[in-house]
Amino acid sequence: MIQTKTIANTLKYITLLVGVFVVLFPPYVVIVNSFKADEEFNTGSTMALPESFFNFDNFKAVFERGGLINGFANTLIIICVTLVFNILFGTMVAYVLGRFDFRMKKAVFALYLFATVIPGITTQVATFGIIKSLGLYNTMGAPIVLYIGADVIQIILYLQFIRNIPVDLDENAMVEGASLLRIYRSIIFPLLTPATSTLIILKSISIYNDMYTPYLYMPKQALGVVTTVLMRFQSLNLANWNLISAAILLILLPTLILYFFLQKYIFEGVASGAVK
Amino acid sequence: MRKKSILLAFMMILAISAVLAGCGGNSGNGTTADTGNSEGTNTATANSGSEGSGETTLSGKVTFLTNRTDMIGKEYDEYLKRFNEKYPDIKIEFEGGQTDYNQQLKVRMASGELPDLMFVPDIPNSDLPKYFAELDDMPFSSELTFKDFKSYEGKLYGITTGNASSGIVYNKQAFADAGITETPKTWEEFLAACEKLKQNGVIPLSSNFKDKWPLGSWAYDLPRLIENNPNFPNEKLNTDTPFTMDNGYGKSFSLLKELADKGYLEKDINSTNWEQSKKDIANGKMAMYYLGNWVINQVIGVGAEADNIGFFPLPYDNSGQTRAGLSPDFFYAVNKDSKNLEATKAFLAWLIEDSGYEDFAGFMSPLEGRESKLPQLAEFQALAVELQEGVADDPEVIQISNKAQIDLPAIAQEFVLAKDPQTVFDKWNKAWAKAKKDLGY
Amino acid sequence: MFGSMSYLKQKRIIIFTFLLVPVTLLLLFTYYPASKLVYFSFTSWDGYSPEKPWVGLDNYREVFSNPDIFGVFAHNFAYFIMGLVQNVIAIYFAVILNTRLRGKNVFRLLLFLPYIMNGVAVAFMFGYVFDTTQGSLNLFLNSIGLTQLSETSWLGTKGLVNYALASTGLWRFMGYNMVIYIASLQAIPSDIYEAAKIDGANAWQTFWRITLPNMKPVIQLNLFLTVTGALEVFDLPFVLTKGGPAGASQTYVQRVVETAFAYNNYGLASAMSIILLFFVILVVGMQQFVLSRGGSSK
Repeated sequence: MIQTKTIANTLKYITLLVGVFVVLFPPYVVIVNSFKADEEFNTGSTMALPESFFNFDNFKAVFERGGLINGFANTLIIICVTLVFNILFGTMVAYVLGRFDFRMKKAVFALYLFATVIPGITTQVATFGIIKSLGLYNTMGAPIVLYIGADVIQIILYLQFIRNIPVDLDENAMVEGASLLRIYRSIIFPLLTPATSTLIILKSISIYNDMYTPYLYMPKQALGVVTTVLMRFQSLNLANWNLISAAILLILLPTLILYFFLQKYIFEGVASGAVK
Repeated sequence: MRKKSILLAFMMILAISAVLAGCGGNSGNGTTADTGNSEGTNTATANSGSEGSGETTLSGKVTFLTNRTDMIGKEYDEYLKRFNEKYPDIKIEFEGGQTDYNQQLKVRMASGELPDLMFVPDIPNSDLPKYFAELDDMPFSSELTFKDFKSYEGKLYGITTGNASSGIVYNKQAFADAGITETPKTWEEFLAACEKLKQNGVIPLSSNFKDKWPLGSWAYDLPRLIENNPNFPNEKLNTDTPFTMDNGYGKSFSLLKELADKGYLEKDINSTNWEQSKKDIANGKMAMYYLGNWVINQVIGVGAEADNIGFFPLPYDNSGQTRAGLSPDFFYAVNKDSKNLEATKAFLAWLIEDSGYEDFAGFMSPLEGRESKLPQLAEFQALAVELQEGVADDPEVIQISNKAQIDLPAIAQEFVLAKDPQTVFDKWNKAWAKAKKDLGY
Repeated sequence: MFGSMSYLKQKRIIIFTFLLVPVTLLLLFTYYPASKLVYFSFTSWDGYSPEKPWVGLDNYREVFSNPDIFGVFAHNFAYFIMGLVQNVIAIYFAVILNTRLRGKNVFRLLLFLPYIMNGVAVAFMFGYVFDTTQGSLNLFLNSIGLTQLSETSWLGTKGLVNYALASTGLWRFMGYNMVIYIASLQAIPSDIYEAAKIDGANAWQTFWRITLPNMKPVIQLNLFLTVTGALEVFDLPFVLTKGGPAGASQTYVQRVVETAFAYNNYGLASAMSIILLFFVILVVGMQQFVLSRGGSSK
């Protein structure tokens, strides 16, 4: 019995280590080159280890080039505003779809599901027209409304969680005379926190790494976000990959920190704390 | 419970920052709106109190959608400083576009949201007057090269950013080490040189085949050079079989295929790496490029000694006579509805005459008679090469090509990879003929 | 005020107000552009000029008269297969990282890492991974003695290129799926597991009888996204191979984009998009049908 358990555990670790190896294999080239000076990068093999892992000149150069701090600030604003509305709208829609029966319920759900099927790249001309007529072109409002617009993942995720929140809780509250708004606010919303944390992570990262939306809808230099600032290290047929590598690692940091901060909330689960 | 309160605190912070951000965003919008207004009022005001020189002082804000994202916050800052010495009241706003520049611009065009200054997108010349301002009144317009490329009904709408000649850019040391003492003058000599390089462990020609665009010289320049007819690409209009083995296309692609088959290109042409190839040309692991002269500065940029890089025309046959293509790069255009037309034109004029962009980017000047600072070009011209200028594309040919979805470098790729290249030509000839018929030409 | 209304009235108000803004946004930013797309598909619009000449069904006729356009869907098959593999791996890691395991936080982070990395990095990294002569993959294969395999042209071999590209997608998005699966595992109340334990169920039985059925909606969603993602893949081949060698890795959406912006034929591109849309619905519908049948037969 104990033996099979050890074997099972060893197998788990072996697969995990293989997974980690595969995951870390491609970034090797980014990591080693971020520490190489121009000359070292140009003359040596791209695969070679750097002369020193303490050569932070590229990281410094990335910062001195400017725009990055501003890019961080702009990105942060966009992410925060988007998230607040995403969480609010996501929980609201999930509450309605998960708790009530009404005629248009299936239709609304289908509307969300179908939205993911429409290939966004081909509708951009029309989308651009809307953004422009709303007066949002070249403002932060453009990416924000587009990110808030439609995302079925959050609806499904919330629905999944809401199903596991016992309906008794609602009913007890109703017996005590609580309004539906109050039930949403003080029972449903707080009990959805694990889903909310997951959403915060996944959504912030996808916004953080999205280049196309800010690139098309707010090209103004002052409105640069992290990705569009990163773009300034390369051009049509010109790229300083040692500098870009450093920039890639640098912009990885904030997301790592966010992940560390939030991971215990994601993985804490409904069962372990919140219900009581 | 404690964890819950931490999370609550986090949500609060989030909410607060969102509110603050909202304000920040609004105030940001506010300022843009303000500048928008001031733009309107300031439009090209001729200042009565212009300083001594008698020059009018222009003001306003000019947005420039550039594809040189790498220059934003770097060289452009310095450009701006110099430009503002001359025109202190013109503000320049740089916007960045990249590989899909053309797509980005068209999306903006569809909504009438063009920047003031930009590069001409892929549209037929007949559409130019609908979007762009006439540029015939530019001070240097009589000295401009390639004036007819982006003109319509005799009016000028686009100005070349710089011109380049296509030829073989090579590492002199790699040639010397392989025992090549003279640059090849015939195709036979060229093949012999490739063989020597290969024997010496050097990749003779870096094609960057996979990336497709580096095949441009083979697809756009060489066919018309071989035919000795600048108008050759446009003469497709008169035939249902534009691609034959014995015309410019067939001959040009066959030369490329010969190099590939003999192993004179990268070991695996489907796995090439553009940035890496520049390093390899610089350090002599690869010997040659067949590209425009603009690449010389880039190779020097990754560490090659300037005098180790040479440039000679590709000897595509055994006649000993050589021609090389001369082609423009992107074209500047000015939004005809620009609120600051005069200021935009002033900036454009400055870019052409004073910025030094062509030297930085390794081009020849858009203006006639200006010497290039590139020593390799002087060397090249000393070889008495006949420079054959390209001609503007025929709009009907463009229309048929678009309908048939003809992409010449892609056809070159297919041709080289095919066991029987004739089948590739047959396929595209068929597509061409069908599109031509459907359009009624 | 609100609290004093009847629950029925409250319910109606809540349904209306809670859905109003989100659904409006959805209609405005997704369905309005989509309806425009339908309109464009009946025109010969070039994609930028104000005139949009009506051509009726011409664009659809043109697509269907040129059936090799659909041939590229064969390339998408690789993405579908790799997408399935990706989900299986993600469920596996989600399940084992949801148990008591030393170092699970570190493993979760590391496996999630690719999703955090910027897309710009992906092209650069995999350019060097798949390079035939000096790529890290072939160097690695060579170093562990697989010299024959280490000569492989991953992006230059017709049958292989799409799988190589799709594996890049797997590398990048496995962690994303894993996190969603972990979250959905967390939503399963722990008392069900405790009950199973008392009944003496072993780990496999627990997984098969409790874990999987409870994850079904999320698995379904992920499969749905895998299918649509596979049919609509665009950026990977665009960045890494430009559709080569000789079109072997070209995808349908890539052709749509080229038709619209490189060949100035937005009308035709719109018709192609609409056809894709129907195709996706068809495939997803079939998938739902099979899945729901499979579900009800148990």
